[in-house]
Amino acid sequence: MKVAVVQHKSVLGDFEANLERTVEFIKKAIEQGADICLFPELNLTGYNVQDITSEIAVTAERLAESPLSALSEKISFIVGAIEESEEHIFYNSAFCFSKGKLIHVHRKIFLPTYGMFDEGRFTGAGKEVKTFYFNGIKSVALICEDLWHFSTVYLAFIQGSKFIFALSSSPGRGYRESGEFENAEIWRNVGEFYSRMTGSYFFYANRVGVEDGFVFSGKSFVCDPFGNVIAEASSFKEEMLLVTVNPALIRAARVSLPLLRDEKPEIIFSNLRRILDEK
Amino acid sequence: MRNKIAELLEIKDKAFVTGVLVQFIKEELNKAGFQKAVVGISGGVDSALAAFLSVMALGKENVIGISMPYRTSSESSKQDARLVAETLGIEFHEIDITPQIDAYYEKFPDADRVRKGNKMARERMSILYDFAHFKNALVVGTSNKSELLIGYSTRWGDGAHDVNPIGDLYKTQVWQIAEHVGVPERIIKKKPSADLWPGQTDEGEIGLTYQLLDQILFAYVDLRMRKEDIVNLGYDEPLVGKVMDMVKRSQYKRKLPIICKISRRTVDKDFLYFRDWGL
Repeated sequence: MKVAVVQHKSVLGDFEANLERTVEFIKKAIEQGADICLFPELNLTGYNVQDITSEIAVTAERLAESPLSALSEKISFIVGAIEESEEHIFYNSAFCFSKGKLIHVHRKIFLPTYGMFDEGRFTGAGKEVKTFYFNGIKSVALICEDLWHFSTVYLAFIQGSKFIFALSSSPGRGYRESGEFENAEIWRNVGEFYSRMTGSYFFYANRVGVEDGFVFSGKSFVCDPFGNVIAEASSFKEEMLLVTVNPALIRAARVSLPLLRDEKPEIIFSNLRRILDEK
Repeated sequence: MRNKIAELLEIKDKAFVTGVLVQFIKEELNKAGFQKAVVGISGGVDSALAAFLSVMALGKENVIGISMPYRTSSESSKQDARLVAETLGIEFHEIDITPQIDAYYEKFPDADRVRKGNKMARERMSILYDFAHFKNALVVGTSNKSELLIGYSTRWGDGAHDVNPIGDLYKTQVWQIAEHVGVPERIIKKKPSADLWPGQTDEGEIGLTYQLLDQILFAYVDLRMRKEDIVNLGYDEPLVGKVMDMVKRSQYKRKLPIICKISRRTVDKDFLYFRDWGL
């Protein structure tokens, strides 16, 4: 099975241009024999959308009517956009297409609203971590800050997820590392840790390009279920990683480290109940 | 602990950070439809670095350097400005601003040196923007983070430009990157000066060395430490107070004009779009 991870350079606030580029990449991924293709957070809108949010939002139904559904006959893929709900609430969402249709939407749960981030001002928070099947593999899509809260990954893990798709638009910061921004290094640590601790493949798609001096840090990567980085993209270039993944390795990792078997979600649940009641 | 702060100001991978700054210039100009940059070259290290980075981003044929001395400007400043242009092989203009400054102050013979210095800085800005239109270029800024934070600049003068690659580098970091990209040593080593009147030096006017200033600013701005915490690191209390006061009193210089709100949506308050909207 082959997975493509696209390091997209989006245009801020130009949905049509971004959709066109996305379709080009999906076609390229199909040509190169990919079964799955992952795009970064908000790749169809750009990241710092601020007041563009309400102007660029799409409903899930409308996105399902775009050329994306037909393309997903040949390949499964995940794209990022601003979703408008029936109640006119906006979400930072990951849209998962497979077998000719939109099969799942994940709404970002944790919206960073501190320092340079201001997402909570413009978008509402999602409430669920649910899995879906991509090419027969139980998968989860999480968006950027979601993964800085290990609770989301835990919820995916106990549902049996084997592929973790991480969509990100991470602006570069920190100059105390070699050859990359500090945040790129942290993301790799996150991927190595989660893939190993869950016995899952971890796919990280990050943006490149610049928005008003925010230089997105690129360095998209893929980790195997043993915590090894098996492919990594560059810092600045718009490019597509293509990796061969072997689901047998997920089995091997989980046989040697049966953490999921021994997990005790009922204990977590009872403890959470007690902690919340005591508060 | 003071050593730790000094260490944190060191840029570990200068080649990587240089690459980020170069990428920033290239992408921000090209997205806006420009290939050329105009840089005011004073003979100092900030403008030399801005010119070097611009050439790395755009090529020497796309960078125009302009030196704008006044009759009191030191001979060495003029020579060093020429040295930067010659080293880079860029189009270069030396425009003496004495006639227009002196013609204006004939009417105000008692004008003090700060008033005249500000006028010179704004005259230079006016020339840079004239050339920007003439050459179909954007103006690349030369303000570093230290001077931006303490307001050591002329409002709408040297503080006015289109894109600024070095505005997140403290002065001591400008020296590090300047050395890395090959700015001539004598420009890096000389005492920083705005050269608005004979004998003026930055450190003499500000009242402390850039090393010390940058460490206090880093603790306050980057590490968000409180005054007493900074003093406890071993910095002199009156100096810390002075630096924090300079930051506070110069906030107006870092902001655009404020607008009185009467409508629901006001341009400077809740009309929130990035400049790169649609680019």
